[in-house]
Amino acid sequence: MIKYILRRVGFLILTLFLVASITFFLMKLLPGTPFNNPKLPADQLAQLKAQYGLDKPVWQQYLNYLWGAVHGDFGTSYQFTGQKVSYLISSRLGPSLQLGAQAMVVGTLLGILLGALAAIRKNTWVDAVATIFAILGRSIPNFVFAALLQYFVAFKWGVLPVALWEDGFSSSVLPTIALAMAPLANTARFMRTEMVDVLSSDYIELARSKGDSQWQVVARHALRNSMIPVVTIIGPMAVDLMIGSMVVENIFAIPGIGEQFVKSITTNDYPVIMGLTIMYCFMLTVVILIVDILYGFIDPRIRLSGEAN
Amino acid sequence: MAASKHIAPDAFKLAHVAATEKEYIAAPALTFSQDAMRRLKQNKAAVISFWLLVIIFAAALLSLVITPHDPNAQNLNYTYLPPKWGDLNIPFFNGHENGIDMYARNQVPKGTYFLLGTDYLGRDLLSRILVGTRISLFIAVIATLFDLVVGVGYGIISGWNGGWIDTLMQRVIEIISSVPNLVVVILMLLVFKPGLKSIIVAIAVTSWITMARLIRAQTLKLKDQEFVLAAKTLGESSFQIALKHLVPNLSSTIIIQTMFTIPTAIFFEAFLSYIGIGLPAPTASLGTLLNDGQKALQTQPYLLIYPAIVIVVLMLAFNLLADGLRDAFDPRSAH
Amino acid sequence: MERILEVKDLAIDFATYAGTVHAIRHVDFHLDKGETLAIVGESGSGKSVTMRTVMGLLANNARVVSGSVKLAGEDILHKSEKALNQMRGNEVAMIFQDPMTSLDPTMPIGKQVAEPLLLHTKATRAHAMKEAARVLALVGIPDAQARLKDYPHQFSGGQRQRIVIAIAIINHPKLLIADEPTTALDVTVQAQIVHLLKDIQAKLDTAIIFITHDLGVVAGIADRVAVMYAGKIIEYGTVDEIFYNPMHPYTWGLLEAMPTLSATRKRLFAIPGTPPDLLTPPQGDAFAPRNPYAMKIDQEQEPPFFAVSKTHAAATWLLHPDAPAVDPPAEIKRRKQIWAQKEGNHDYR
Repeated sequence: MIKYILRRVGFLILTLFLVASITFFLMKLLPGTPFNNPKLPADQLAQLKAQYGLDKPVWQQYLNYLWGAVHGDFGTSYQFTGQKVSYLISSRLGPSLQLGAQAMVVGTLLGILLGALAAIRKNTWVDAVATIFAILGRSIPNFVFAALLQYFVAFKWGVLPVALWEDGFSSSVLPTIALAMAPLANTARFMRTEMVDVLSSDYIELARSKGDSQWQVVARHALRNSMIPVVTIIGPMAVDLMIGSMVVENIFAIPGIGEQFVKSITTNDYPVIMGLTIMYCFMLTVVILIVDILYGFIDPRIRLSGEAN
Repeated sequence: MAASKHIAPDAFKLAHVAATEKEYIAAPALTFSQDAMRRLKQNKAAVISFWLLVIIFAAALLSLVITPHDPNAQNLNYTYLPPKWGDLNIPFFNGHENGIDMYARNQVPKGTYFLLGTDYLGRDLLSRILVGTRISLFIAVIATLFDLVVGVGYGIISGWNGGWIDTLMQRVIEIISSVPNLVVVILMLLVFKPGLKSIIVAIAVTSWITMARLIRAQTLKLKDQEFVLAAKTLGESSFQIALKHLVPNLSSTIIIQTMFTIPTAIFFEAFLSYIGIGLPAPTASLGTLLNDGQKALQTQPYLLIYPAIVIVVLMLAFNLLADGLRDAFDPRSAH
Repeated sequence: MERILEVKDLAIDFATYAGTVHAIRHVDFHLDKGETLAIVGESGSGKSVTMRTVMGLLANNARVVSGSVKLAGEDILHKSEKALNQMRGNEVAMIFQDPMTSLDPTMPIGKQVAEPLLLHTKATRAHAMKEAARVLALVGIPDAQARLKDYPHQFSGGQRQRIVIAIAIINHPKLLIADEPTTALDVTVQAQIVHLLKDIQAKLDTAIIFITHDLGVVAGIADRVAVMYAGKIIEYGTVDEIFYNPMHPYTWGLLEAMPTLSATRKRLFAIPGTPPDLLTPPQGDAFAPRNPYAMKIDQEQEPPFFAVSKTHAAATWLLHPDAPAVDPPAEIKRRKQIWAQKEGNHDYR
């Protein structure tokens, strides 16, 4: 098990290194740095380049960048003069993480509930409603949903704050709902399939033949067995959340990293884009690693075979 | 319990039935794909979605030839006209806004209507939606082609060869998928100039990953099956086997995954245009329309709502059809 | 003799997309205390459906058309779901075909074995676990106490089937239904499981219904045998009657298909053809199309049961007094000779 984790961590570091390298050289290819302005006098340009370390050969810039990245330094923003990228990211991480966590919890819990109900009441109206819910959740783009929520709930009915991050929890309600929709829909769909599978398995019939009622079978045997595989889709859901946060934070004007990412893209703030790309990649690989280890722990079949190896 | 009634004595003559007659099967046997089609046709949601998509495709194609108005014609006298359906006085479709007849106020000549209203440059929303849908679908179709060629090819090569080739190819996939695919798309878009071509390339670069994974897994499974072994012992080349035995067996996976790729591509285009790095300004796509609509949401909500309805219906129809296909081709997952 | 199970005129339909499948077509049988009845038939002959009915575990699309199922005198077809839950695992328990899939993979086996006890009695958790260890030891799990916390995948197939048996017997049911309990196991393990079932029956005086498609297993365990074909019982009798004096050509086929050590045949025998489609059961005898001894009447009229002895009857027109004498296959003739000798000995005594 420890060997397995070490190997995975090693691969994670390799992945991050490759992603950092690829983004670095991609950025070098880019046209339109802020210094391409032809009106800029030559001496000022040289001064700017020196300030950002762009006067050195590319390989030296690359090594400097990697060295900095290892120490959590991703350079300085072009847009916000003098601001460290690492500071920009860390100061904006809080709202994003809170939103992401809230959406993940709400989405998976409701999704599991919805999927389980649909499976238990298969081919009834409950199943139909749950299915419609899940398919709508997959089909409505999250930015459309977020915009509609904002227009109707906040603007028209005045129930919750329209935007910004200034009213504590109530500011986070609408963005959380908008973000949670995709994980909810995916979990519900996945859970339904798993649960239908489990409910038709031999050990459920054996449990029924023991005298378990329909609900006892679900509570004691079916739920746990169908919930374990749900853990495997947490990775893809994290991706959904990261992508979703870019627009949802934008629409609700929340000072998070998603909003920052979009802003940096539109202003060609390359150091921030690079830093956030590596950050996203880091978060995603860590989530996937944790999920894989977690999966090994909660599924006795893998847990024990892991010990044996 | 002995039998009682009279039975004609000749009834007890031995009457052996011919062997061929014994094997007579009452109902015609259905092939796998016929059976799948039967299941698909029973799925009302999938059938309705299919016809809905046919209609949307037809309307989008028709927009090449004719649209109600020129989708890019600006007329600053006509900005933000609400929807009006002729002289029919239907609420929301009578050209009134807050009780004022906007058409009269802006001195729009009689006989000129905008069925879904106009945007901030006085462009006809309906025409723009038609053209935008066409562009979204075009991107989706191209992304699907990449999915089919690159994804299926990659998956088969990786799964069929195994060994170090497979390991290497899987590592590549793992690295690509360790970055959220949209971030990859965004990076690609930064390198290329914004535009239709760049969007297609960017989406194509990422869209094949899932397909490659699924196809590889299927290929690994099929590789060890008897009919492949049989073909090998008969001396067929790897390429022949792939074409004659693998692809038909992979077809349901391919069809289903394609159906899931399309809505993803549509979403990506809309997303990128929405955040402002997709298609450049005058071009209408569902994403740019939603972006424009969002800006005027609090005053002219219809500018967001109608394109939103179109994209939701499009995604819904593709998802429902994909679900229907998956349930039809893989009955185990459905029932 | 105490009557444990009485099934009368049971008929069950299944609604499918293609139409109504007549899965069980008027079946009668009974079972006394401590007795073992083997129900033999090919897959799809309706033996498993019959047993699911007895357990009250029919699928949603099944419909009982006629008949009654009485367990210890109580009609179970009209019981409420709650009453059925109280019955299952307590008065009647079931052993399934595939031990690899019939245990919950994520629950320790101790908990799984103790579950029926906790459901049906007021036993405390601690007592139930102790009892589980005792029953596990009884079915032959070595070091049972220490293995209560182990998961199913840590046991072999044979051991898992023992655990399933432990679950079934922990509440001392009156009736044990074993649905092909040995099919998925190695031959050596099969014998052990059959031995274990006989052992348990001796200890607990349980009635057992043993479902199988393998007549070879039947000889070692059953008192009586019922042969099913296309949703009907076509012959029933004691084990000796079925093995050495079979009357129905289908039973002949089954016996012929059974490999024996003394067989002089060079090739394994198989009954030609396939069972009929139960969507539209054929007119007359369902077996007629595969029956080399079929007569004209087999195509027209369904044969009733003709009694051979008090315990033995077969549904074949060959037993009608007007039917011509037929020449059974060599293997059956050999068996009938043994039967004649036995009967003869019997008579002399």
